[in-house]
Amino acid sequence: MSALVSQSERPPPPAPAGTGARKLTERAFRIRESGIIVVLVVFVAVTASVQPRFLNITNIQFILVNTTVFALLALGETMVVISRNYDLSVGSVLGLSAYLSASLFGGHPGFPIPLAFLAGLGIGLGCGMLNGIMVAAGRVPSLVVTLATLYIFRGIDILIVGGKEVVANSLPSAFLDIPKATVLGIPVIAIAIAVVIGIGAYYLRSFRSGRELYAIGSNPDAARLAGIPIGRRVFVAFTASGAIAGVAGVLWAAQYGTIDSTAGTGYELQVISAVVVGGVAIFGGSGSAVGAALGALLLNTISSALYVLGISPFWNQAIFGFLLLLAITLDRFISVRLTAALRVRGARHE
Amino acid sequence: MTELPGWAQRLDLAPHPEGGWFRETWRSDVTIGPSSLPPEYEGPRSAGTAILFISHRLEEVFALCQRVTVMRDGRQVLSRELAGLVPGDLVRAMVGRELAERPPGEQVAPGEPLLTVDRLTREGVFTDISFTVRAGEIVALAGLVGSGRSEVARAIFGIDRYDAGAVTLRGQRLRRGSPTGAMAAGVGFVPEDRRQQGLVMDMSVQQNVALASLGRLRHGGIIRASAERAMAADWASRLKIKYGRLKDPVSMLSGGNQQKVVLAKWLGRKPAVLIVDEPTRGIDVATKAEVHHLLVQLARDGVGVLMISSELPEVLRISDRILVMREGRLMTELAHADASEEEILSAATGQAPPPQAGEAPANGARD
Repeated sequence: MSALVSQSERPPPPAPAGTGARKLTERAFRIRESGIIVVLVVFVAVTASVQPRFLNITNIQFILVNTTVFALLALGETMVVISRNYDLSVGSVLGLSAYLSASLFGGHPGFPIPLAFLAGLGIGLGCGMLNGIMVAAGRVPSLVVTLATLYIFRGIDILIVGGKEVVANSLPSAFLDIPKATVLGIPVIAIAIAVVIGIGAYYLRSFRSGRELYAIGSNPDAARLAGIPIGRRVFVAFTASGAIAGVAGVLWAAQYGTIDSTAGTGYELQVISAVVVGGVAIFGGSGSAVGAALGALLLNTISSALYVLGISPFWNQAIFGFLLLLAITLDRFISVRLTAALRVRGARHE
Repeated sequence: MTELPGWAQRLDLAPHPEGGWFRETWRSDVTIGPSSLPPEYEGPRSAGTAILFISHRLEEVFALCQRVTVMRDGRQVLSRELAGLVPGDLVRAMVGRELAERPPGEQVAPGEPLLTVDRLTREGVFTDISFTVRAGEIVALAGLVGSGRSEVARAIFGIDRYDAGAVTLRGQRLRRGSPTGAMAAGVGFVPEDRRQQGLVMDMSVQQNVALASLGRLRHGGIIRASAERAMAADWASRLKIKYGRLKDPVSMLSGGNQQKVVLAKWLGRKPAVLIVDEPTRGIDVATKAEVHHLLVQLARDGVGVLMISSELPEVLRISDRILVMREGRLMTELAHADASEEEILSAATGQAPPPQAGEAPANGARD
């Protein structure tokens, strides 16, 4: 192709400069993550000034360990929400996996711990694939599919568990010690989960299929016309979300020790709250796994602060609701302001 | 603020803060024809109200205005009485050069058949469509809106299913209902509605340009940011896309520049056949001319182009062959040399005497 395509070897021209404007947009795009950190710091500072016990190392470790399960669930949920879908079944998957993996230790105290995690992963993977097949191949809205599987998985859990429960002294102490291990005062498990979330965020940003999830959530028609296999990508997102919830279930079991058929009940809405507070657009197309994990950390910190301050847990839910509204309002506000700011700047380039 | 006079409302005019009235046409679905000019318009004008009318619709300019100023790239390039000018003069001033035209004789050397559509049928939508696009050809698919043109194109690319027939590219049959398959075989598709179907509006210019080429930009599974950026910058400069930063959301660009981003996305895949559906709808005259140049250049480089267009001047100017559809059937095929607006329209409407201009499917500028 003469004028048009044969010059493809030539180096790209330098992009037009605009450092001031560049800073403006980059700040604005990052404002979501930094906004959560600011809220978090303010909350911690205020709570600590009233009740210094809040900054006690044990309490901080407790918050971090408690956050790990939610942050993990939020990672899977982020992948699904970015593709303009919802996974309401994560709490039930967690419960099923927590009971089944922990009961493996029941008869055999020497059962290897990594195998318990693998079992949880496998259970979650199966549940996630079931969700994924119905959404991707059956073209059923994910809200309906996962609402149904929320009840189905919980029902299976109740059928298996009945009135029984796994109690802590039937579990190997090495398993129960997983959440207690620390390095330099930081729980090892929190570090491990932070690494997993970092990998997840990197996958979403820099891998082809991750990038394509954003395109699918933002504009499904355009994604299809760009040759993106929507069904396959959405299936993978649900499978990943299920698998992650399965692993989170094993962690949950290690953390609480006592597992009955109600484990993880209602977690799905807390996880979606964390994801939205963390800046993932509820209608897909934008947001990051790091933001979602920070959202989970913020919600857990608030619960803990209210407890330390001796405020009724009733306020917990009211404050979560308020934060959700704030997050949605803030998103709207930022996107309107950002569009206006860019438009003014863009006009100069016309 | 006082109530706008009726004529101003009808013309969609707004008072300018410095006095007078102004209007910017931007909705491509609203057209003021000379016949629909309200008589009240003359009243305020003869009473001494100045009206500044901003438009790229030349027929409106000629219908409404007495004097004209043309701007290009932030400069005033022409300012004079309209009397004595023809639309072509304004277009030349806006574009800064002559319009793309296929010189007679160039279109007679088409290469090997690339895209072959054989008896394609989708019940109730289109029936028995057969044609071939050869290398180096621009084939126009004309017809009234609703005649099934876009539906045929969507079926070829695999967006919609079809009930019977076959689509082959260089003898290799394309899988039914699979855009991914069509892309892999070397077909590109620039859809009719760039905002709804062509672009991911939340994504940046760079990400949109790269979206169809992610497989090529990968290194060990990871999209190389430098390769992505280089590709986007390269195409942006080749197609003269005006943008602030490659990382700005594509929604910040003007319609014409957005359309160029869609074109860049497909050209980046070096397609053998490019299907373009209404490639110049709702974009300004200068960008329109650039898109025409681009399509002609692509054909010269051996790409087979299938163009759907409601703008007859565009069809007549750049296509080698014109296929006319009516009510889901292919009515006639005209060669560039012996096609005229009248002939296309009579085939498209099925009426022997050419209909009046008011019934024409063309809704864009007669530039």
